Amino acid sequence: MILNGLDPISLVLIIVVCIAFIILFWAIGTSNGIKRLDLKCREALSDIDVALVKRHDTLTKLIDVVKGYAKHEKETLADIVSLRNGMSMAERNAAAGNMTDMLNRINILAEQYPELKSSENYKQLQSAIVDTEEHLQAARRLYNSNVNAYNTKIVVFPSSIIANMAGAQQKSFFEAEESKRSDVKINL
Amino acid sequence: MGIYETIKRLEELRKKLRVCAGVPLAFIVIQFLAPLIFWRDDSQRATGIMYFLVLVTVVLGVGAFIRMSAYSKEYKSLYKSTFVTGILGELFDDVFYDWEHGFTTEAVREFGLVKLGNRFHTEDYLSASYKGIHFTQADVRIQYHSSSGKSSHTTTYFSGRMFVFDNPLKKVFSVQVFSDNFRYRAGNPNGFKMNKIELESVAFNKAFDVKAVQDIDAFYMLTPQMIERLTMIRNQYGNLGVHFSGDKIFVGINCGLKAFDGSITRKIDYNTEREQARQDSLVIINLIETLKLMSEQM
Repeated sequence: MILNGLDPISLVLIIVVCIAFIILFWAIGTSNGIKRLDLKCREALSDIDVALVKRHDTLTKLIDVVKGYAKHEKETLADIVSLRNGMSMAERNAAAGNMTDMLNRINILAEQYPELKSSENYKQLQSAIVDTEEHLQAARRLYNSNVNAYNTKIVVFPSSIIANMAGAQQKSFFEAEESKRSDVKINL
Repeated sequence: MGIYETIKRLEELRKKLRVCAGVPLAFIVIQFLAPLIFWRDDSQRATGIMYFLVLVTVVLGVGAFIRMSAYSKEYKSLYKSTFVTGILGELFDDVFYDWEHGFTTEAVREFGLVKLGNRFHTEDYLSASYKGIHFTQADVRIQYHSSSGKSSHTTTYFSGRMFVFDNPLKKVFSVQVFSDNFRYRAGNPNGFKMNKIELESVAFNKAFDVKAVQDIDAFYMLTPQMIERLTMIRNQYGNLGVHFSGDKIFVGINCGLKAFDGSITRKIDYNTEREQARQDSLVIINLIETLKLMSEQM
């Protein structure tokens, strides 16, 4: 009844304003959605940092135990890369790779020192290392899942319009260390 | 009582139970046939005969019901002590078996698998260990009955077996995994907000719904290997609910499975009934081994 009394120009104006509001609300919702996904990525990244720190600390304890048995292997047991705030994804990947290399060296070393391999400290720390590895894998998968959702959101149309206006950039995935990508050599 | 006498007694009880089960059927048939036979006859004699038939079948029905309860209890007790207890002792360690009881409603609420209705029945409680993994299990039936004067309706929320396994290798706060056909799911068992989780496998996300208080717990527990194992269990049993909580795994298989029950429709055969009890026990072993609860690489 209200619309019946309006002239065509006013009607068109009302429709245009309604459409503008719908687009505005959609833009706000999409922008907030992108920000939420960004926050989830940051949260997942902090989970990775927690897992890496835990791995670093456990590995440091393991190195100390090994040094007690393998006193002549100082070169092999050089310090692992410490983690610091604000590391990029590439630096995190490098730190994780460094820790994996150290772990591999320790495992090889343990084969030469049977008394080390059978010590309770060593066994407990090895179990702890396995658990930290699993937490790191979980954190990595969660981060990659969130990054996938974020990258998809900013790439697909029409949310890509808002993403480009906001300057949103695709994030990098947390990749598997190079040593774990290569084939396992088994010497029988 | 020797085994021969036991099986003879079980057969007697089985036949009596079949007769008792047949009385309600006779009641229904008489109630259906009598009006058809006497529909043209309005005489008092015909009416009297009909009322007499109703009275007789009601009295027989009540009597059959009372006797059936007594026979059923004796049958179950004798059946389970003869065929089930021995098999459990062969397959598991530290066995405690109580066929008359099961899980409490409070325990089932804490399992966080299915919502509780207003009718609850449970039996065949078993507590034992298999290769160092302690577990408990019971048959559970949960229903919701509503009536509104003229009509009543009963909805079965869950009818099947529930299991609780120790999970010494991994601990998480709360992760729920339900197959897509698992209805009447429990809400948040711990009172915390649960987030819906999408994992990397599109097929898994389609077949299952995953919720967790902390997202990372879901990824920690649901490794690609665990995803595959849950898919295998679902393919075997159909309707599956799993709740990882603390150092326990709660599993509900909602497909009408009942453990350690003999059928009154088939003749008692010693080997057949023992094999049936063994198959029911193997479900537990199958779950432990499929979920790899004993393995260091869970």
